[in-house]
Amino acid sequence: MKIEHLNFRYRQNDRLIFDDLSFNLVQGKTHFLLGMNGEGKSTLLDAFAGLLNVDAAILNPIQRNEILYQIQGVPILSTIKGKDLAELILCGSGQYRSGDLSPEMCSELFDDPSALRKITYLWDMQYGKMSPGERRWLTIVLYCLIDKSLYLFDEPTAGVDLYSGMQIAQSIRRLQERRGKTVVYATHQLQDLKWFEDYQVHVLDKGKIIIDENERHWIQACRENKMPICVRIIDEWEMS
Amino acid sequence: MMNTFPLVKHFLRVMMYYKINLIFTLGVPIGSIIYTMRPFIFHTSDQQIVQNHVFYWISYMVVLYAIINSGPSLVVLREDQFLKMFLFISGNVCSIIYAKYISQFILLTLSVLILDILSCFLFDLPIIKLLIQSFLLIILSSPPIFFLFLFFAALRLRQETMIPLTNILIFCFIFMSVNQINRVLSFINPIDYAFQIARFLFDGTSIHGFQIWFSITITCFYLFIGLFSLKKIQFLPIFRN
Repeated sequence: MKIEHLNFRYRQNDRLIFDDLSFNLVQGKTHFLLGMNGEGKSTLLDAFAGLLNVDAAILNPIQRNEILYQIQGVPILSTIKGKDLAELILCGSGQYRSGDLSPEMCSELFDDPSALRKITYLWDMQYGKMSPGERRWLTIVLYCLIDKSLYLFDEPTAGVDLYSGMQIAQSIRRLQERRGKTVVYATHQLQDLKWFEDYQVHVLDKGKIIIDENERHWIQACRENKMPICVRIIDEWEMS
Repeated sequence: MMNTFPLVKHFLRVMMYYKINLIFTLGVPIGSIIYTMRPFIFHTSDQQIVQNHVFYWISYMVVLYAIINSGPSLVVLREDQFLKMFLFISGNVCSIIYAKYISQFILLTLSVLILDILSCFLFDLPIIKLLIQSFLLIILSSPPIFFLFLFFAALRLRQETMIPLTNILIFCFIFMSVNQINRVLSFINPIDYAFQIARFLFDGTSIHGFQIWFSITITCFYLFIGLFSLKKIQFLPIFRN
């Protein structure tokens, strides 16, 4: 899918969110979307998902029923258990039956046996008693079990400890490596990139994509680009 | 269709979690029937008068369940981003709306069942007949009324605006039907509309052809509003738009 000449501003708002932005989504690749708070990363994901009426040329658009969009902070009833959440997400997708569900079905996503113990532990726990990080971890693991063409992740490791963040990144990486899926991953956490081998980095700044490079060249491109955001990214990358 | 069932379960859990709503949906009708019909409790009475009261309050329950669980509820789901989340899990918005309708229909049926059993016990009404009549009334009146209130989801209204608005609406509907304001205003009073259906089916008085066509017109009007609203439904929270 390709978006060209994207211009967008919210209603009753003078600020131009995107200014002649172009973005090429390569099939079977993980695309990292980096940018400061308020630059429009989530809005760009909304545009990919077809939720916005945008002024842009969209080539080879992906059908809505082939997109999975992970959203931050959706409130869920606190009294449901992990297995009820699994039923809601997995059976709600129409790809699983209630009888198919078990913690073992998640084992394909992880090499680490502690992940299976964790999911077994959360399976019978009330959602309200899980920590925010555990909720995020469980939700994303369940998302990775659904079969779609395009996956949009909005800050999937926000509020999650380093080890759980690694597990989340691994399960997302498997979407691309083992199933050839296309992933767009919006994040602030640069250490997430270290869990991936084959990816494209897009840096969003002031309504434009200022860096669009693969895993071998993006650091150098950021060093050569003297924009404040690139300087911050390099500093954070070297510290992490 | 299969992917609707988990959503129906989830919505039923949410509705049962907020039990306070049962005060309005079930408590008010029961209280009103007991208070209004108190001379007839455990006495042989004109069954038609009592039944009319029961059907009126069933009409109220149909409208109240729809007003809580149709468009206004979708507005809450939209603002919480649950609509956006589940739109991509299920692949379409119709499964969410369908699950909403099924869940409210189940709870409405259970509430009406409780009302009917209590009414039959207090007023010596024939239980099987009343249950069948009540179920028919719900089947015929709840889909168009549910469709009517979908229009709230097509409006650019915040959740905080929605709740007082729906409270005002329900009181207006009750006021209009109790004071028998101009029949033509049945177009905008779904309680009257549902009660008309009950009278056509169960009152036994003569029915004019005009009244039947009028009710069919209102039904089509409500369905049209709902279908139009489905096309215009907002998925993104208002604050983002």
